[in-house]
Amino acid sequence: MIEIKDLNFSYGSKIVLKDLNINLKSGITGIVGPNAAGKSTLMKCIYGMNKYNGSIEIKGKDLAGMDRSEKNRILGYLPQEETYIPRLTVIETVLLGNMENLSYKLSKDEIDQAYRVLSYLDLEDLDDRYLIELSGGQRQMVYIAQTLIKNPEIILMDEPTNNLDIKRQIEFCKMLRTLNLEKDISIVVILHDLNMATKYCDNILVMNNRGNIYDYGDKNIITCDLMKDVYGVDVDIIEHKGDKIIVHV
Amino acid sequence: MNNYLISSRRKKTIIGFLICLIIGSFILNIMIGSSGMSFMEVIETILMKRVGTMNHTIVWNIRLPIGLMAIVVGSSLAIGGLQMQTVLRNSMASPYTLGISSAASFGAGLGIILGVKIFPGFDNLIVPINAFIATMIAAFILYGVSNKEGISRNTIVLFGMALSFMFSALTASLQYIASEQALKSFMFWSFGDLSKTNWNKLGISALVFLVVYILFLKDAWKLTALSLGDTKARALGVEVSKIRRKTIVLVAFLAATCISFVGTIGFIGLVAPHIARLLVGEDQRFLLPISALIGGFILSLASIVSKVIIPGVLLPIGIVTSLIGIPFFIALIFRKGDRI
Repeated sequence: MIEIKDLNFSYGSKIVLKDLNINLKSGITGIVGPNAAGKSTLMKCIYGMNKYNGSIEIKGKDLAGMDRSEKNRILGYLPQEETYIPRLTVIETVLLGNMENLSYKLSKDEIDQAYRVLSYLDLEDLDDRYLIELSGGQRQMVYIAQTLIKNPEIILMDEPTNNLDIKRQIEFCKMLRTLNLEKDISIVVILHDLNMATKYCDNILVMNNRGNIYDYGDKNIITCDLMKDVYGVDVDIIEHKGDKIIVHV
Repeated sequence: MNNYLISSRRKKTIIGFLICLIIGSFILNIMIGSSGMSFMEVIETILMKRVGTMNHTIVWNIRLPIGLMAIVVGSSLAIGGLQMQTVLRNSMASPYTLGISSAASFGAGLGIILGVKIFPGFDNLIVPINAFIATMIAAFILYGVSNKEGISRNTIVLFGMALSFMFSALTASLQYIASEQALKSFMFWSFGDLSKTNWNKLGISALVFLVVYILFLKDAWKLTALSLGDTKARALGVEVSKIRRKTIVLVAFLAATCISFVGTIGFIGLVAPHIARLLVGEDQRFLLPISALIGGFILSLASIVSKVIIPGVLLPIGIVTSLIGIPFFIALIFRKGDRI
């Protein structure tokens, strides 16, 4: 689905990503790794926001050769939430997802389309609420709605479960699965909680702190040795009803 | 009807209400002066039914251009402040942020104190032309800096502060060597004053406002997206650096025009966008016109207050807006949850 070849990226003299080669499969892919491993940088490269060396192909098409509208049709991107929350209502925020095509005076179709997305995510009742009035989890759902309005084939999400309590994290991850199954959208999501990653992701990409990939595969790649090598922590891994649970020792 | 349409209708009603307020304050502004006029006298004079009378001369040569200039300058400062706050994501930004007013003061000071013409000719317009050119020089220096790859908005703000200090120091040097008479003239210029308005100055100011307003309106969705933060705006397809540079230059152009004709009038650019944002949120299709209308109304009101606060004395309007603005500014600082 996303094929990355010889990807290199640096901020000035600081090398962040070094000779990355990977072919991400469709479904839900979790990207995990220690802080400053280059996870967000990799995601920005995949979305074409960072100028990189190497090649990235999205569904067989070279990213560098895509124009913006083509890229935006295939990819959606949900960056980390900023500390400042603007005085925008839910419906205005969702409408902005389609910004490049919006007319100055909105047509009925454009408004209806935004309402359909809100309705799909059960957010219709919040339409005229300001973002500041919502919980962190509700705001993330609104940003998902903003991304969905373009009907992307792949959505990239940078730590969307930050600041969510455990219940909201679970709801959020279940919603990702629903999107994947019902709308056939593939999702690449950066997560810090490895238990969430092993439970809800089809595949996991583990990055090390040298700007490279440590391993990629299903939940079985998460082992005690991996945790020691990548994070420098000692853990036990317990099997429970087919799920892996990582426990710090 | 869905909530979005109801909310849009409410915002349009606010626009209508503000237009009525502006018209009311404009007429009141013309009625009030050393020779008072009734409402009907003002209306008839404006409708050219009293040609040849003293009232006709007073209204058409003095009060009408000043009354309209108050609205145009107030609106210009408001949208300038709004867009500075938007592109810098800083609630304390105004059209004068980034050294724009300091540069204008320096340009005006060169003309008033040293008699220097930055642009030759136009002897009667040395001060406005100097102030305008100095401001645009500052704006293009800023443009050059913000054009550098990867420059953050905080770096732009800090560079703007450095520019501001530099021009202030240069202006202070001019003041130090100025004669008493020149210093007095310079001080009066720096207060901000509408009394020297004429139809030409009004025409130029109105034209610049209109052009800049239309350009901002064309970018309304992009500017709205910027309120979500640089990364989210980029994710939505906004070329953040490009629109920031473009906006800074447009605001500088707008502010330079205002400052060169009426001096520095503070607080409108800071206060009006905040009131507008509280009323309608960040959707620039409504925020932009409503900021402009509130700015125009506040300055029109300040123009009235400047005439009535001390009977028989016309206070410089810049002093009035600062006096009105300071309590609001303090309230803004202490407002819970506001962005800094």
